[in-house]
Amino acid sequence: MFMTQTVLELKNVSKSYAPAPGSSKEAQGRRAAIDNVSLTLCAGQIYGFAGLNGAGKTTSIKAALGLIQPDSGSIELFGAPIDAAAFNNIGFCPEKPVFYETLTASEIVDFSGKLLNVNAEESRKKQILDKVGLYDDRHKRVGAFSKGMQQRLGIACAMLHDPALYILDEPASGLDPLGRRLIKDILKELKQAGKTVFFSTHIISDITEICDKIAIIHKGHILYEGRVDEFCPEHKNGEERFVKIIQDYDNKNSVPAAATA
Amino acid sequence: MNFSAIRSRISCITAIAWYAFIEALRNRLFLGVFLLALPFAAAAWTVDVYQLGFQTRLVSDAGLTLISTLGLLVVLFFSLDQIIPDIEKRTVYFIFTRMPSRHTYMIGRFFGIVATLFCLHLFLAGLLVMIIKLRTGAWFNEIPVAGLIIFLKQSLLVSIVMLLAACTSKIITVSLSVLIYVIGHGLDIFRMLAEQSGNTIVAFLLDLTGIILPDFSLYETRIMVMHEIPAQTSALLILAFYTFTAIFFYLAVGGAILKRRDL
Repeated sequence: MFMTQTVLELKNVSKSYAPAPGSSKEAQGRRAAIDNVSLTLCAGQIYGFAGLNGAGKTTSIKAALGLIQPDSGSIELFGAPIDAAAFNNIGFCPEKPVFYETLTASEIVDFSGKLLNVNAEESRKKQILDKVGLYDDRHKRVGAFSKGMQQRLGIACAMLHDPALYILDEPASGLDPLGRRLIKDILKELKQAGKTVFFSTHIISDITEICDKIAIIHKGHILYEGRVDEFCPEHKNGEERFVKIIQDYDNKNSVPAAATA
Repeated sequence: MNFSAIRSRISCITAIAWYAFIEALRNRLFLGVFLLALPFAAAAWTVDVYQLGFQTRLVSDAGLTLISTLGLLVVLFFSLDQIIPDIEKRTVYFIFTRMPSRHTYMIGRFFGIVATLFCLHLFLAGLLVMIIKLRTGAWFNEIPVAGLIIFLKQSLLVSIVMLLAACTSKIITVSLSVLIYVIGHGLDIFRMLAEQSGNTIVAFLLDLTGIILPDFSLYETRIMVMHEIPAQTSALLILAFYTFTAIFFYLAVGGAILKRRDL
């Protein structure tokens, strides 16, 4: 019963952007970043959202969080349209988390807690900063942090209030192998704790290793959504399957050169 | 909105304002602004011009001009440092995925800068009062009042900069803020010239401008200081009311614009 509760649902969500000023004539007209994207994430699932760079992963996540207004479609979080209360149950970490550079890691965690009306007690702060390996650096200013450390701090802030749903945009991007291993371990822990996780990546092996469900987005369209064990039985050849789905779509939608001549 | 939602919003505003204030205090530019005041303080202390009352007023006026100029630097640089870089660097994601109200963000950031501005004014006005007191033995009461008026004026300017920052680029925000500041200061002169010329259309346009844009000529302190005219409490209260109303209006518009913006 618990597993079937819908936590996040995007129904036919589309978003297009105006062309950048000074763009060429061919590039004129609005560019669809996502087109009729529909996704369903149920409680307790670990959902991998795969796509190439620029496929529409971040736009979908931003729409889900209300950071952008979709042109059409509807989004529901915990069975209701997005509202302030929903954010107390979401832990979000953007692709490249950026913090206020003059604040220390400890202050950033406090700030995060205050925005969520959660009192970040020292023991909780120690627990989460320890988990991401930043406790010893807690009094350092974030401006002095490396990209990987900022990424780990972003994960720590997302975990602070122990939310039911985690939305992580390419959590392993820019991390070294140790950092990537750490993120994977955290995702596995969240899975064991029964949390719901939605994360985007272009590393298919991460999805096949951790996730229950996968969706593939390409050029703003969802090309595949299903269970990981159906997508690649025994976790084999996931990357080949991913590439094939994308190539099939491109071949089907490419206009032959002769036809345009 | 119920009581708990209001409490939660106030808590968010306080957190955003507090960390904006901390950021500003740790900014080297803020230290630089204080250092700029030191040559003046040294000159005011060493120059022996205090025998006659008029020179004291001159030092007060020069000091208040310095407070106003340094305050203006804080307003422009620190207000600009709030919204535009937050959007460009995507720092706003940190806030809007925890507390989605963009009005709350605007108000919090506003109070952060106003607190920074208050510290600057308090320090500089206090320094000026102390220098004059130590050199002449008399309290120059017009300075704190004039300092408060300048603080109100610059708080209003902060709200304008934040409104512009919510919808335009840095360069346009700076240009328009300075333009509005200059026009706002000249409104009384423009009105007087229009009355003298008898041009009713120009007078109407100026009245209209006075409604849309803030009238900074209301915050004139030089005459009060130079002639040691005590400020009337009622006039100060009306000025404060005008300032708070205008700030509320500009922040509300800024928040509404930010709400419609894709981040």
